[in-house]
Amino acid sequence: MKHKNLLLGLAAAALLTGCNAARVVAPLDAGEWRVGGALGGPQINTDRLPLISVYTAHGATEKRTDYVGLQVVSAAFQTLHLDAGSLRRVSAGGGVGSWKPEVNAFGGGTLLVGLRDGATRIYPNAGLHTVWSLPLGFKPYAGTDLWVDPTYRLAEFSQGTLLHPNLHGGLRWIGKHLEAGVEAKWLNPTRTFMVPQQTVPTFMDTGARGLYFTLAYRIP
Amino acid sequence: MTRLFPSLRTAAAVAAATALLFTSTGCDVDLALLSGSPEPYNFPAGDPSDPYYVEPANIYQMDLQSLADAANNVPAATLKGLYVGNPADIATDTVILYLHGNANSMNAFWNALRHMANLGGRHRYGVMCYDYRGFGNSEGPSTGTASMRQDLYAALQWLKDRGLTSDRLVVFGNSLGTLPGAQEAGEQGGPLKIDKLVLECPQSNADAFFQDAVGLSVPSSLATDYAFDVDGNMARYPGALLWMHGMDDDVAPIDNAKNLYAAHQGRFKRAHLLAGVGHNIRGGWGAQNWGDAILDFVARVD
Repeated sequence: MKHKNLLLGLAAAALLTGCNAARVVAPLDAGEWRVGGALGGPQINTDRLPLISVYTAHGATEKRTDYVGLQVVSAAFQTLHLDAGSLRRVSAGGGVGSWKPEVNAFGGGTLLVGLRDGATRIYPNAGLHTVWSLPLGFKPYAGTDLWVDPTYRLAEFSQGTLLHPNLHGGLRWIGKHLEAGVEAKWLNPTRTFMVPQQTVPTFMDTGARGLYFTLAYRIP
Repeated sequence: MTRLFPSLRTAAAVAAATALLFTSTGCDVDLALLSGSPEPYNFPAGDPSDPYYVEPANIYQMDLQSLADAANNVPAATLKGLYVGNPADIATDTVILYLHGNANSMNAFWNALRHMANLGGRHRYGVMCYDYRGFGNSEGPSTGTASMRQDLYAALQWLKDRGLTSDRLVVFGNSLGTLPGAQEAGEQGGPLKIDKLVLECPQSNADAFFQDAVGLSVPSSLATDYAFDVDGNMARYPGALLWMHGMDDDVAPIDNAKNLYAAHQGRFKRAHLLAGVGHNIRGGWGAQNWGDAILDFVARVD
């Protein structure tokens, strides 16, 4: 029964606000492509749900990177789930070993289209990554990702809310050909999530907590 | 340009894999809601000193024929049913049709069933229960509103064939069972009309159910085609309603369920909102209180 009911948790998690690792945290080199995937999700009971997404990113300029991703688990539930956005360097950091972080802003949105009935939702989002540079290509970062629910008035029983914040922190390693990362996320600390017959562990008694792993291939 | 080829190939592979996923899988959240497990049925009579003792002769198991609904792609299926009481008395008895919650089979509800059979006196009421498609040893699977409707019709037909009339029928929905119970109360299209309905820890509607889990204004159709609508059906239901709900219920939020009670404008309604009680009403409130509330409702609206 437990694993059967986790199916609901999986579907819910796949569509949860910001339930994904950051596609990119700093601009790619101009002209570079990066193709990767992310594995991970929020904790339900003691399990971490295995959400899978794939993405590609392109360094449009030295300061701007565009990206698009596809949530694979949502596809299994007959829902097209795409995210796309652009990240731009706001201020350069102090370089390797400096305490002064690079600050990057990003904005974009998530598109959901249900293949059962064509139901469509779009959720814009925007946020910041503050990124430090360490030797050997390691980049610790922290940031926020604010989702907007423009159709919050369509939520049942007036329980929708316009803004859904998320906080995250992680570590990326960027090598010559590969990028790998791990990211922890505090999902929507403004509310609690209720998955029937499951426990959604919170952080500081609110929201949900997620853990994600990323791996990408760099194409110069 | 040549640098682009690897990523284009990758993108094409991803697109192909995604297309395959869309076409080859049909994951639906209702798989979590609408499937139990086969297991041997076990309905012990108990000790004769037990207040809920059931005479072994009054434990009657039967097969029910749930008919096909071709318009909704629902095939025929054989269901396993249970009647607690003497089927020969159905023509004169008041019968409680118990629509069980999400568990492997009706085994999990035996204590509630034998309790109801003994409300107000030994074997005062006949009690019927059945396993929906995909639960217990009933053929499966359940697929949503249409299959649940056909299964409920099968039980109502079985009772009608033995002489039950609508005025002596009480339908009791527990958790998952509130979905088909409320649906038929709103539709009134089955072999018997529902005029007395008990909803124990009901859900509200599929969208609210899913939005509680997701946090966004997403429609439930993004994850399921089981578009249940308990509050909408309660707005259409003209009969009597008893609603019991634990205020600490973390499976079916009471704040959502309050809307179905407000929507009901039928001839009678009563609510028991229970502080300190979760999703298990009978266990949390106490069997005596639970039984008294049902007995009072059945007697009051007779």
